[in-house]
Amino acid sequence: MTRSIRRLAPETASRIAAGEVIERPLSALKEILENALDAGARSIAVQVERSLDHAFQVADDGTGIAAGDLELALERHATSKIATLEDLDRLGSLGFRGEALPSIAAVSRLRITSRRREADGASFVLVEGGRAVERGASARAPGTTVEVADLFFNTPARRKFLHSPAGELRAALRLLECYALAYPEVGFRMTVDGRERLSWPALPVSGLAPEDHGGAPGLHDYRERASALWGARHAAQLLDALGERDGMRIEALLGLPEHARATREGQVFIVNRRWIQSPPLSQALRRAYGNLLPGGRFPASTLWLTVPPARLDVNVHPTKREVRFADESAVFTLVAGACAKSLAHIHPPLTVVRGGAATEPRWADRVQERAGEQPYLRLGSLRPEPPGLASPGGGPAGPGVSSPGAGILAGDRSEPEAAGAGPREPELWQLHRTYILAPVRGGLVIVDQHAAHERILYEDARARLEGARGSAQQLLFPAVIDLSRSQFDLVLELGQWLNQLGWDLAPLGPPSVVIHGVPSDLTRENPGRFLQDLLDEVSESTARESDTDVAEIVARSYACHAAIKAGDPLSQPEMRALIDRLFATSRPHGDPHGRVTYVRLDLDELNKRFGRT
Amino acid sequence: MELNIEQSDLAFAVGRALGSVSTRSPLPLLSCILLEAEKDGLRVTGTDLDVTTSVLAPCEVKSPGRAAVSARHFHDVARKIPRGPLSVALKDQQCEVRYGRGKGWSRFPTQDPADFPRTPELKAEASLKLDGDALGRLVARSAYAASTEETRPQLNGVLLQGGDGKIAFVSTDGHRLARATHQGTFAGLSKDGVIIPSRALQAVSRGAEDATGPVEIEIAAGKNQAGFAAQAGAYRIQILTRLLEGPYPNYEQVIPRSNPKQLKCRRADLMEAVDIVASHADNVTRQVRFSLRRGRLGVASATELGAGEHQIEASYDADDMEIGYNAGYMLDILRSIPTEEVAFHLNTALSAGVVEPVGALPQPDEELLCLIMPLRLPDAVG
Ligand SMILES: Nc1ncnc2c1ncn2[C@@H]1O[C@H](COP(=O)(O)OP(=O)(O)O)[C@@H](O)[C@H]1O
Ligand SMILES: [Mg+2]
Repeated sequence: MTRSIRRLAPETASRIAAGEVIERPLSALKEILENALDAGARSIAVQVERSLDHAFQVADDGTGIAAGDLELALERHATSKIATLEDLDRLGSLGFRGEALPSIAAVSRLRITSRRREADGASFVLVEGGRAVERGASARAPGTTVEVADLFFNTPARRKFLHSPAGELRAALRLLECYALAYPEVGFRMTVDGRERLSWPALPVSGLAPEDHGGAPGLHDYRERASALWGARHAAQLLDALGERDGMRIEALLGLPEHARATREGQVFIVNRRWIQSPPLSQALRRAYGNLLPGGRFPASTLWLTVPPARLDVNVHPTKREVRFADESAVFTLVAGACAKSLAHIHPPLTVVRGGAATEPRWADRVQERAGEQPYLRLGSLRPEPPGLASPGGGPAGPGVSSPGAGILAGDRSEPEAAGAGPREPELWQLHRTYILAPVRGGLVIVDQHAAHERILYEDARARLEGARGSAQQLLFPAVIDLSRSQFDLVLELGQWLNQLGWDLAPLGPPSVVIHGVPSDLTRENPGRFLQDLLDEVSESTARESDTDVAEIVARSYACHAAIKAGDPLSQPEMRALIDRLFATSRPHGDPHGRVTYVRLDLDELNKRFGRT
Repeated sequence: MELNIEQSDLAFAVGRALGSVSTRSPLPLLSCILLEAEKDGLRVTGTDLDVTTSVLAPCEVKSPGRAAVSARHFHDVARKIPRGPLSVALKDQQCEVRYGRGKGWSRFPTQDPADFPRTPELKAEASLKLDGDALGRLVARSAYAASTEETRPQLNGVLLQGGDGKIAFVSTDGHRLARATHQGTFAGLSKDGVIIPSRALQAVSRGAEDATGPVEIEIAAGKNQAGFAAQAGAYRIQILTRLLEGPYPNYEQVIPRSNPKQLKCRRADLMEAVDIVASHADNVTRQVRFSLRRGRLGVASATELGAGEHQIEASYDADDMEIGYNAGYMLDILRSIPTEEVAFHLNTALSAGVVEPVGALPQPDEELLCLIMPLRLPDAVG
């Protein structure tokens, strides 16, 4: 059913035009990949030379473009996919605007070589900065090759704001991973500088016989693909979810609660075979997991949603990464319901009642401030220099002075309290398992336990990244973990940094990594989960921030994930160690993100509040 | 319910049962102990649902019955009451204790005993007997190496393994491992074994200390339970526990059989060296450096807290080697070994080391093997 390419009527074009579609090299790859999929390709090969902005090409075995249409395809709002606005209600393709090729052509050197099945030979056109400079005959099997070189060569201002090439490449791998999930019947291959980075063969998709649900692949095929992507072991642990309602259909492979991640990177949403971002789907998924997951952890799951095209608006975002559902709440119920059903047999971990709220004294609710008289903590009185903790002799203890046995958070929490701490050290209190109250001369210091530990670990990590490598506790049973494609690549990319931090890792080949040793201050964590959280955090930060001081990002991510959390109970020696170490850091007053680590409450202020002045 | 009992008997029974009462439970009933007057005595039971301890103490039962009272509160009074006979009776939903021939009384509110978790009946598929002292030693030599981290629950306990004409107690946290064995025929226990939670073993080793006869161990692997029972003088102590779900890692695979480098030294010397030097070590890592030289072993540590080094005599004649260890792990191991000398069998600075007693243990039918994984030192290659 290949239609020929036609120009959209101006009024149609103006309703769907997006303008800015190629904002980064990745967008060019995405559009070209989508064109290949729209052309019914069963095999797609991506080759990257150096980096996406330097040169890449995508070759497919799809329908091809007729020789006479080649230049038309490069015109704005020329498409073979829709003719009128109403066609959007029947849309079966990923593209529809006719904007991608001309937009890429405008900012690169673009060559399209294509041959239709019935044609004798191939033809090509070469465009530079939007102007055709060469055309002619060529040789090629049926299908299309699109080559893009020197992206943004004629827009130097844009070049400056490109993401790091490595980050862009990682995003490309993820893009292919997601489209591979959407199209299991298509084979994908990608090489970078001749080296194969991924190769997923086309699957003989069972459901493609049209009598099955509309000729689409099904869960079985998705599971096969997942197993090619992430390894059979991981795929076998995923749970099926399936649901149908009002002509909508949800299929999902759900990660077990222990596979949950610290970011949403483990989630892939595919709607009508289109890879999208969707807060409502993410929320529905989270709802389905209910109390199986603690706050701040996101299920790692892939959802395939099929909805009637008429009830889906795909024309809402320039890069088509977002869609709008006509009936969002129906979608939410369908997704949350189907996923919850499949998770129902998993038992939540024992709920530990955290914090002191349950044992509040009976009179607590009677403690009320008189309205309008509540003074604020005087943040202005925060002093940059470390406040002296009252020491036995009454004099302030300097920042470098640590109490014996309290250099660092004690490893063993059950350690008897007296160990190491002299009897005359001032007592510390933990408040709601979140703050530490420490008496100091002239007042009280309230320390945020998480922020403080983050500052300590951040400086530790920086020191290790720049100087002496951290020591690694070797594991008796090396842990083999399966990573996502992009996590795996990040391990290769960050190898040296991770080693400095104290990791002892051996990549086995995608997607598996063997953990032989863990940073020796991390021995209570699950090493696999911690490594994944760290990688996700690093990849998120590198995507967000353009200045890529890798050491800085790695150190921050490490600190953030290794730090004790609000809710963790601390013993006296642990609190003491935390405070000693905090005030021994170079900047004790703030965590690496710039949040305050402690607040000081002056005795004067207390006195004033009690009318003692 | 009405009975007469000696204060010491009541205090003992309540004290032991209290050991299994959860300290902080959302269910008020779980902070209770159950008192049951039966024909053969008073049974006192405490449970946190995972581990249940029940003690049967002799007494004179006037009328049988049951009552659930606050464990801590009841124990506090029971242990302070003067020695001698006392009576316990249930009156108007209150549990009343009268003591000292009219000297005093105490009353405790009760909870409905029907709500108290029923002690499941153990249908043993296998049972075996072990001398109380031996059991205590096996636990002491193994349990310290179990993991306390929540992420691998099967490591939060000790593996009891049969086969090869002995019983083995194995535990590991993935950084070190201990295996203590005792010879005998323990037909009921398979090579795959069962995993007893560390917490249950605490109660068990206390019971083993009290025991005046052999400890009977019953296992119902199918129902995921194990029971330990022993006579302690006039008392009968029973501990019931849920088993941890396996599989236990295949630890035998990681025991190096032919490590080429041998080091031998006096255990007390090494403990002293590690103990002193570790005072300077980082509190989390507890990293100390072993420097193996011909005829001697140096133990050193240096951090911003300070530095120290301690040399001891050792028999060693392989190539010089530098290897890092967690001092805490090392001390745990050394403490568990009863012989005067210890032997290390080492390979590289990154691979598992075997630590063993030199010569026979005081009990010749017992053996002990420990593994310790090194810390990769900052200046190590790799
Ligand atoms: N790989 C390809 N195989 C076949 N036809 C293609 C391919 N790439 C582009 N085309 C044709 O070029 C047209 C323009 O592509 P594009 O600018 O991406 O717009 P759209 O995809 O929105 O139609 C498409 O409609 C399609 O007909
Ligand atoms: Mg397109």
